[in-house]
Amino acid sequence: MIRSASLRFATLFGLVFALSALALVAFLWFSTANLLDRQVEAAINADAQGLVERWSEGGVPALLLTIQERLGENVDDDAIYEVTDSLQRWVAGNLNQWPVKVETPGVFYELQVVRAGTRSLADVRRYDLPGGFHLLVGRDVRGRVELRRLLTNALFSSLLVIAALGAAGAFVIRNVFRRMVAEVSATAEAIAGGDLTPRVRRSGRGDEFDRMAESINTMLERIAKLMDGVRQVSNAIAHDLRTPITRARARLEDASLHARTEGELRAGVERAVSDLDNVTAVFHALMRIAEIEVGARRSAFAEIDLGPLLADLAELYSAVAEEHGGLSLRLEVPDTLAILGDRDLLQQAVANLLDNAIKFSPDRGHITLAAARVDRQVRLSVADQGAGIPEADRPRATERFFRGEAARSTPGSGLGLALVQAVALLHEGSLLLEDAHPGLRATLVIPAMSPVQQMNSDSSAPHPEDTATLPSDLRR
Amino acid sequence: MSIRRALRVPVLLASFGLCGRAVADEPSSFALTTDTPAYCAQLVRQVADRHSQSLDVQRLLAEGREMCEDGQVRGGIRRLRRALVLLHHRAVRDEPPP
Repeated sequence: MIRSASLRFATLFGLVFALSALALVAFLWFSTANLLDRQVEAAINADAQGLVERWSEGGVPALLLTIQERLGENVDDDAIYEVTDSLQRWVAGNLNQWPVKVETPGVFYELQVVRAGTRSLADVRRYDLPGGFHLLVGRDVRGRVELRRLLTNALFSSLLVIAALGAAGAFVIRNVFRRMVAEVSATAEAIAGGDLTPRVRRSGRGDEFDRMAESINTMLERIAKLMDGVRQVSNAIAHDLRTPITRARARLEDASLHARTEGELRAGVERAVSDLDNVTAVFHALMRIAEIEVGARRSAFAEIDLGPLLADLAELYSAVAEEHGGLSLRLEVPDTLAILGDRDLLQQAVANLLDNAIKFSPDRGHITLAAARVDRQVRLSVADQGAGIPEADRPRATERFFRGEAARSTPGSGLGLALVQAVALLHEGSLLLEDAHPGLRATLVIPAMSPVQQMNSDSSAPHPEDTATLPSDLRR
Repeated sequence: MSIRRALRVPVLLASFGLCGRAVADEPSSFALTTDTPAYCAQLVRQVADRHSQSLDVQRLLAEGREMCEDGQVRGGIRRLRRALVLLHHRAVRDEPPP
C-alpha cells in the first residue's frame, strides 16, 4: 500500500489515463482492421456475383471470357480467379492449383500467394457452379497487411506519447494535490499548536479547493467564536458566582460566630441556603441553554397553536403585573396561530420576556403581549414602557451574564435573554430587540407553518420534558 | 477484425490436425500465373489484336512489350493492362445506344 495520498492519486490518474488511451487505441485498431476486411470481402462478393451472372447468361465460355477480361484489366494486380471442373481440373484463372483447404463454399479463407517472387496474403472464397464447376474468387491483401502494419506501428508510437503524457499529467496532479494539502496541513498544524488565527489561503479561482478552504475557514471562525464564548462564560461564571457564594459563606460564618440563639443560627443558615439556591439556579439555567443550543429538543417539535398558549400566559402574568406596581398587560393575539415548535421552551421564552417587562416597567405602566403572522413568519413580541436597552448594548444583550447599566440595580443573572435567543435559534428564528418609545420591544421571529406542514403534522404528539422556568430574578 | 477471422487460425489448425494427410500435400503458398513473361506475351497479343488507332494505346503497348522483353515483367503487364482498360472504355463509349 502506497503511504502517500498524492502518489496514489497520481498513480490512479496515470492508470485511468493509460487504460482510456489503450481502449481508444484498441478500438481504432480493431475498427480500422475490420473496415479493411469488410472492404475486401465486399469486393470479392461483388466480383463473384458478376461472374455468376455471366455464367448464367452464357455458360462456361462467357465465364472464361469474363475472367480473362477482368485479369487483363486488373491494373491494381490484386485479382485472383480459378475455375475447375468436376474432376478438379484447371479450366481458367491465375492460380497454379486449387487450394485443397478451400473446400466449403461461402467461407473466406486466407492464402499465402507468391506474386512475382514476393510472398503475400490473399483472401479467397469458393462458389460451386452447376455442372460440377468450382469458382474461386479472391483478392491480394498485401496492401491491407501493409496498412495494418503501418497502423500498428503508429499506434505503438502513439502509446509511447500517451504514456509520456500520462506520466506528465500524473506528475502535475501530484504536485497540485501536495500543494493544496500542504496549505491545509500547515494551517491545521498552527492551530494544533494553539494559534487559532491562521486561515487556509484561497487561490481566488472559486474552484473546489477554494470552496473547501472556505468551509475550513468558516469552521475555524466558528471554533474561535465558540472558544471565545467558553472563555467569556467561564470568566462570567467565576465572577458572578463568587458574590453569592462569598455572601453565603459570610452568613454562615456570621451565624456560627454571633448567633446567640438557635433561632438566629437557623435564620442565618436559611439565608445562606437561599443564596446557594440562586447559585444552583444559575447552573440550571446555563445547562438548560446549553441543552437548547445543542438542538436535541428539535425532535420534540410538534404543531402548536400560539393563540391559547399566549392567552394562558397573559392570564397568569396579568395578576403578577397588577401586584407589581399596578401594571396592566394587554393581549393582542389572534385566536389561532399555528407554528411548529417546542411548547415548553416557547412558553419559557415568553415567560422570561414577560418577567423582564414586569421587572423593568415603571409603576402604572402598560405591557403588550402581541403575536401575528407576517408573510411566512410569526412575530411574537413583548413591549414594556421601561428604560429599555441602550442601542449600544443591544448586540450583547443576549450574551450569557450580560447586564446593562440600568439592570445592575435589579436582581438577575443576565441569562434570561440568552435563553430566549437560544429558543429562537432552535426554532430557526431570531430575537429582535427594538426601542418601543419608550421601553423595549423584544420580538421573537419564528417561521410559520406552511399549509403542507399543517396537513402533515400530528397535533396529538406528546410534549415531553419538564416545564420548569427560570426564577424571575435570574432574567435579563 | 471479426470474430470469424480471429477464430480462423485455431479452426484451421484444428482442421490440419483432423485432415493431416490432405493438408500434408498442400503447398504453403500458391503461385500466381499472371506475373509471368508468358502472360505478358498473351496481353501483348490481346492489345495488338484490337488494332487500335489510339496513340495512348499504341504507346502503352510499345512500352509494355519493351519492358516485358527487358525482364521488367510487372511494369510491362501494368502498362498493357492500362491499354486494355483504355480499349474497354473506348469500346463502351463507341457502343451504339440500345
